[in-house]
This record gives sequence, structure tokens and C-alpha cells, in this order.
Amino acid sequence: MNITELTLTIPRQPFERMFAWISRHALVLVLIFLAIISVVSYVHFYQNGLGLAYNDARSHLDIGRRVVEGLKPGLAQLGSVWLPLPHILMIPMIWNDFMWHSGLAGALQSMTSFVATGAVIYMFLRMLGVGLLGRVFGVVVFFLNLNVLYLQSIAMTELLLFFTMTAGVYELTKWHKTDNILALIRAAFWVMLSTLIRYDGWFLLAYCAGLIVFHIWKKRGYRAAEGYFILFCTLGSFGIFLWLLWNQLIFKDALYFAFGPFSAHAQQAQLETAGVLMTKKNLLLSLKIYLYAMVFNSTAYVTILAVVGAVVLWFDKRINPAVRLSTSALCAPFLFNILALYLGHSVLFVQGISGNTWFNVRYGATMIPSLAIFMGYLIDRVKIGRLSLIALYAFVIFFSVANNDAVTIDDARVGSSQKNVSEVSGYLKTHAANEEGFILISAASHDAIIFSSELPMKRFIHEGTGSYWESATTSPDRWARWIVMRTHDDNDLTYKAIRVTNQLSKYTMVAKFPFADVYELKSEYLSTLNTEPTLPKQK
Amino acid sequence: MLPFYLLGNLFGIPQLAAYGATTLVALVNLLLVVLIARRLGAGIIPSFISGFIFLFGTNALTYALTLTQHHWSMLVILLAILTLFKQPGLLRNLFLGLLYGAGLLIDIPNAFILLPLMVYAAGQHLAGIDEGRTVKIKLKLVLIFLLLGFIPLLGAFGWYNKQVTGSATRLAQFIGRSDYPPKPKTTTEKKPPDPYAPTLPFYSRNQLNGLYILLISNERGWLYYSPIVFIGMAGLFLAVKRKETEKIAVVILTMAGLTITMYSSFGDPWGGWSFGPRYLLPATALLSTGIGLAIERWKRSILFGLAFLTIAGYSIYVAAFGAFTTTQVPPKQEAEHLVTFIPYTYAYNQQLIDQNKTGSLVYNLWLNGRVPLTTVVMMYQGIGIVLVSIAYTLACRKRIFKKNDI
Repeated sequence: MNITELTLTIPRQPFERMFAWISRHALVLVLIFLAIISVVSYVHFYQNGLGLAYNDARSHLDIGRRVVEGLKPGLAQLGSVWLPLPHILMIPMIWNDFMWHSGLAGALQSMTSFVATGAVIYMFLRMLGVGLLGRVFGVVVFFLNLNVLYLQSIAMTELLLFFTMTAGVYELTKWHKTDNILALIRAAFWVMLSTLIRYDGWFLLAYCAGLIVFHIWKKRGYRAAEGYFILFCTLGSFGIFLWLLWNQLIFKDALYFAFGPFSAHAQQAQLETAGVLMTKKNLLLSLKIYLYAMVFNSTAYVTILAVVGAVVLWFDKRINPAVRLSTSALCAPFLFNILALYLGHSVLFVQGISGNTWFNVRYGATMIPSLAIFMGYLIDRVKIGRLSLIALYAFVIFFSVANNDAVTIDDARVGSSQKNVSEVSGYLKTHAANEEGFILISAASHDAIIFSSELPMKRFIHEGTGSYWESATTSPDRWARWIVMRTHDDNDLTYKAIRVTNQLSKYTMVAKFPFADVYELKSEYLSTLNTEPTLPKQK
Repeated sequence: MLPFYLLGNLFGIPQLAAYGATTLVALVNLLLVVLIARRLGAGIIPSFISGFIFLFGTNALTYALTLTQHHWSMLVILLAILTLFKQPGLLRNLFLGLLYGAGLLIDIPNAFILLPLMVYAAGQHLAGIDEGRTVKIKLKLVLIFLLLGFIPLLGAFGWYNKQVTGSATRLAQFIGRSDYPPKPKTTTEKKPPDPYAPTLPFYSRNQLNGLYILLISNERGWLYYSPIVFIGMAGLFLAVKRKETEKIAVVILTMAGLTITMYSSFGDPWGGWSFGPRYLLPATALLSTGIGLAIERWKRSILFGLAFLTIAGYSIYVAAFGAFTTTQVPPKQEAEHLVTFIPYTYAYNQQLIDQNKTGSLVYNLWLNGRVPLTTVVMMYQGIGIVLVSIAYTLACRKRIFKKNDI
């Protein structure tokens, strides 16, 4: 017996069996693990009040709610400001007050997408021939990102976009690898869904179509390329077709979403007038700002290694060149965002570069699934020093998590993406909740107030309520007991509409807050006020 | 430092002796770089070039002439690397443990920088033997001496903390700063603390800027001050490819990578007013060990020779400016707000040389008024470059000095 060492003899078979079992069920284990992480994160951010900090999150939830409840419920309430899929997915749950006001109706799709994106990253790496460690590491890079954990806990569209885009590229790569036409159809399906979430999906559609044409033209000539292009685009662009049709039917203009008064184009035009759309026609600044946003969302360490991973992948001769080329679609969000900033269709503020605030910095998170895939690939290919890379990653992520380093949270807390309307919504909650009468308000300007007041949607007369809005803005004293608006601001549609009626004298300004003022109808006019939705049901 | 000060005090030169201690340690570090380069497989002359360039071709020279912790940290780190080449055993482990503790006492980040080395050293005691149907796992108990070497100094560290902060586990760096004399109390309400403000020193959001400052910028970047370290890095990657040196080279690169990662996340990557990337000095020392290997591998390439001599020459040229003048170069954002602007690069040191301002004892005692400082600096730089060129030429010609083929 040697007293200078401990010896442990263990049978090989149980370990081999265990490892084989883990390898076989790794995907299921990943799904279960991510589901647990997802729920814990949601509860954490719900409890600390950040779950509804994003102004846009509250608007998304209100749009979903208006479809099922309000003075004029119906699918038309989906509007044209945002693409409709996230709101459609809310409909089965948003009728419930808890699901609406907790944000869970919107967060559930993000949470599900979070789990599914993790699974797609795992499957993507497996398809590329990456071993178990690399596959799991890719998933770890994805889920151990505070920005991802935050965005998956709130009613925003990012995670749903991540999932559909990554799934689309996964199927596209699979098709390049196997030539299985079903994979191409599935790719078209996922890309089509992404086109109904964000305009990033439209760019991905074009990029994928280009890859398909290139691949088939090279392999089988022009005619086949044309056929495959039509096949892919028929399903892939079906969502865009429906969206254009929707805009035509509801707003009488197929391009209303693009050039209407509530479009991003109109908002960007205002920003340009204010001189803060600095990226427009400035390619270098667009590149710099997006790079910073991407790095701040994913850490410099992950970004740099992921770039190395991408280069290793694209030059790896063991992988079919067509497959390698198809993975370039993982970079479509990067190209899209720079292009959108350059063309002035998008706005993104990074503190320190574009003034002293954040805005839309979450756009930088769009690349995280792709970076995770490239990182997983690199870890698999780098045999020597692999543990060192993992250890350095652990070091960076430990401090990132311990220091709450998440730009998306900062944007939601102190950036321009937040809007603390608690004063004005608190006023409504206190003074209007137990009284009769409608509240006239512009949803385009004050959706966050509507949400935060926790009053039923049917208490509000807004632009989407058809004849109620027309009546209330013509004769406010007959319909609106309270008016919430930014006085003297023509961008506020309520003010713009009632300014010309000269009826504001019938109201008393009862509260003045940074985001809006509250007016209440004088008591002598209350007798003629309508407090019930008496107008006939509208189409 | 204290023994040197006391010894110097006996002879009436306490400051010189105290500062001289750092210089002495710097020379020891030069030798340690030579020895490690040899162990990694470089020949004698390329190894000496490694050591020479480490000290005279980087900002290690500037910090060899002043009173900071950097060379003492490098001493511990390089000694630990050299010790790692020994077979695991009682004395080796005890010594490594002691070095780890000493590193912690010298500068807290050393505890992080040395961690990969300690993990690797610990891992050397674990072996798995495949015996067909069973696997035998052996753990050498001599591993415990890594801890035993470390514990006494950890105790000393705790005692020190207790004296300074009142708690053995509380570091002085975390008790905040106070003004003396105290600032008058203001009546304005204090803002409530931000629950999302970073509480630990390494903030990943700083990394991008930190990497730029430390690696590329003209304020502090390696590329600007001592690009020769990149050749050392390439040399270490060559060592990774050799089976005999693969593991230790990975450990060295990991330690260098950790140093860069750590300080790029630090709020002040500039290191205040300093010359070159002073926080990267441990990484500079580690990467310099690879310079000899790079020379061994590519010495037959004329292109490499030209590039090497140009880069080495430039590095020696720049290092001299800091050594002859000052470490006190401001960061850009501070320089730009000074009433009288001063450059935030080594151009400031050049300015001082042009004005005949130097802290060099030798110059001020014997040469001032006889030879202009610019001439002395140029002569020094010339000698350094000529020495490296001669050594490089010899390394190319004398194959007998080579220890191993790469």
C-alpha cells in the first residue's frame, strides 16, 4: 500500500453508460435546464419590477389586449406600428388581467423562444459535427448572458425573432448539407415567421433567397435556381404578402406601415429634424455604433472569440463549402442593422457615443445566438488550450453577472427605452378607477400610461376606437370625463384634435406631470356626459 | 524593499538602495526569462535575446528604475513558471504554494494571474489509468503541499487586512477613499445607491475600450510601445505545437490572456499616469519568453529577420524614453484637460529629453553639462539595437547553441 497516493478504481461500464445516456438525451436535458432557467429569470425580473420597465413592452401588451377588450375590440387593433405575430401569439392569454398586467402574456412567447433557441443552437452545432462539449458550451454562451435572460423575461419581440431566424438558418444550412427539399420548406416557414416579427426577417429572407439562388445556379444552372427561388419565396414571403394586404385592407395603403404617421420612418424623420439621427448616411458611425451595441450585449471576449470561430468555420475544409457559405446567414442581423442605421430606418443610441443615453441598444443582442454558435464551434475545434478559453470565459462571465452588466437593463432603467409614467398612471388609478366616465388619450403617445393605470381597456377612448374617438375629439365634454395629453404638443393626437374644438375650457387641469397633463370635466357638464359605450358596434 | 532601504541607510544611500532593489529584481527577471526561454526549447543566444528584449525593449525598463510592485510581481510569476518545469514533489509544491502566497501579498491580482498555473500544478497530481474494464484514478497526496505552502502567507495576508481594515477578509481596496482634510458637509440630499452599479473591479463593459487602450492605442498600447511582445506571442504558439512544451506554453498563454482580460475589464486600464501598459507587465514578461522560440523557428527567413530587427529596434528605442525620463505620462482624457497641455504618449518623454530633463543619476552626476541628453539617449538606443542585431546574427550563424529543433 502506497501512503503517498490515493487510488480509486472504478468500473468503466457504468460511466460509459452514463455518458452515452447523457449524449443521447442531451437535447432534452438542455430543454429542461433552459426551461428552469427561463422561469427563474422571469420570476426574478417580475419581482424586481424590471419586467415592465420597457415602454415598448407595455405597448406590445396593450396592442394584444385591445384585440380582445376595449371599446372596439377586433383584429384590426393589431395596427401597423409593429409586425403582428407577437401580438397574435398573445391573444390566447391576454384576456386575463393577471397575464396582461404581469406581462406574462407577452413574456411566455419570449420564454418559450429562449428555450427553443437554446435547442436550435445545440442542434446547429451538432449538424456541424461539433462534439458534446462544444454544443453545450454554445448553449451556455447563449443562456449565461444577462441581456438574453432579461429579454426572455419580458414582453418584447427579440427572443421570438432570435428563435425564428436561427431556426430558419439552421434549416437552410441543413438543406445545403442534405439537399432535402423539406428542410428548404421548413427554412422558408421559419423565415416567413420572422418576417412577421421584425423587419430583420425581411432582410434574412432576401439574404437566404440569394444564397439559394447562388447554390443551385452553381450546381444545376439557371432554370433550377429559378424554381428553387420561387419555391422558397412563395412560402418565405407569404407573411410579407399578408402584411401588405392587411395594410391595404385596414389602412387603404399597402405601404402604410412604412410611410404612415406612426411608422418608424415618420419617427426617424422627427429624430432627423431634431438632429439626433447621426448614423444616417454615415457608414462608419453606423458600423461603430452597432459594433459597440453588439459587444456591450455579448462582452468583448465572446465577440472576439466568436469572430475567430466564424473564421475557423468558414475556412474549415472538412465542411462542405456550400454549408460553410450558408452559415454566413447567421451574420444577416449584423448586416441588416448596419444597413438600417445607415439608411436612417433605425435608431440606436449607445451611451458615450451617441450622447449620454441608451436607446434600442437591445438591437445589438440580435447577434447573440450566432455568436454562441461560432463560440461553440471554436471550442470544439481548438483542442489545445480549450480549457483555457473556457476558463477565461468563466472569468469574464462571473464578473459580468456579479456586476449586473446588462445594457438592455440599463436601457430599460435609465435609457430612452424606459418611461416612468407612474405619477400620471397613479393619478388615474386613484381618481378614475372608482368613478364613471371615459378617459380620452392617445395610445400612440401614452400606451404606457394606459397600461400602468391598470384600468380596463374599455375605459379608454383612443385613436383605435373609431367613432368613439371621432365623437370624443369633436365633443369631448360628451364623452371624456378625463383627458390625458401633452398640452401644446401637436405630436399628441388628442391635443391636436381637441385644440380646434375650443372645449378645453370645460375642463380643469387637475394634474401636471412630465409626460402628460390630466384634465377633468367640470362638474356642471357631468350631467350630459356619456359614461356607457352606447354607440353601435363597429366593424 | 525594507532590508535594502535599511542596508542603504547604513551607507547613507537609503533611496538609491531601495530603488536599486527593484533594479536588481529586474535583472533577476531578465535571467528568469532567459531560463524559461531555454526550457521552452530556444538556444542560448535566442534565449538571451528574449531576456534582453524583455528588459530593454519594453516598459519593464522604465519600471525597473522606480518604486512599484511590478517587477516583484514578475519575479514571483516567472519563478513560478520556472518551478513548474520541475517534477511534482514536496519541495516543488511547497515552493509553488509559497510563491502563490507571496504573489498575493505583493499585488492582489497576482492571485488571479497565478491561478491557471496553480490549477495546472494541482492537476499534475491526478492521473487516470485505463485498465480495460476499469479505470484507476490516482491522486498523489503531495498535492497538499501546494496548500501548505500557501496557508502561512494567506494567514499573513489576513493579519495585514485585520490591521488595516479591521477584518481579516476585508481588503483595503474595498473600503473606499476619504479626503484629507475632510470635505465640508453639503446640505444636498444624497442619491440612493444604484442597485445595478458594478460592485466588483472587473466590469466586462469596459473590455472593448480596455483592449484598445492596452493593445493598440498610442496612449498605452503594446503595439505602440513594445510591439516585440507580439513576436513573443507567436513564439509561444510555436511552443504549443511541440509536445514537450505544449502544456506549459498553454499555461503561460493562459496567464498572459488572463492578465489582458482582467485589466481590459478594469476601470482604469491606463494605470493612471504611467509609461506604456504597466498593468500588462506580467503578460509582457510571460510573452517575452517566446521571443527566442520565434527566432529559432524563423531565423532563416530574411523577411522575419528584417521585421524582427525593425520591431526590436523600435521597441528598444521607445523603452529608452521612459527609462531616461518619467513614468508620469497622463491618459489622453486628462492631458486634454490640463491647463498646459502635455502629450499623452511617449512624445512627452521625448520632449523632456529635448529639454535635457532626466532623472538619470548617472547623467545628472557625471554627464550633465558635458554631453547633451539627446546624444546620450541616442547612443544608448544605438548600443541596444546593435547588441540585439549582433546577437541575432550570431543566433542565425551558430547552430551549436541551439538546444532543440522546433
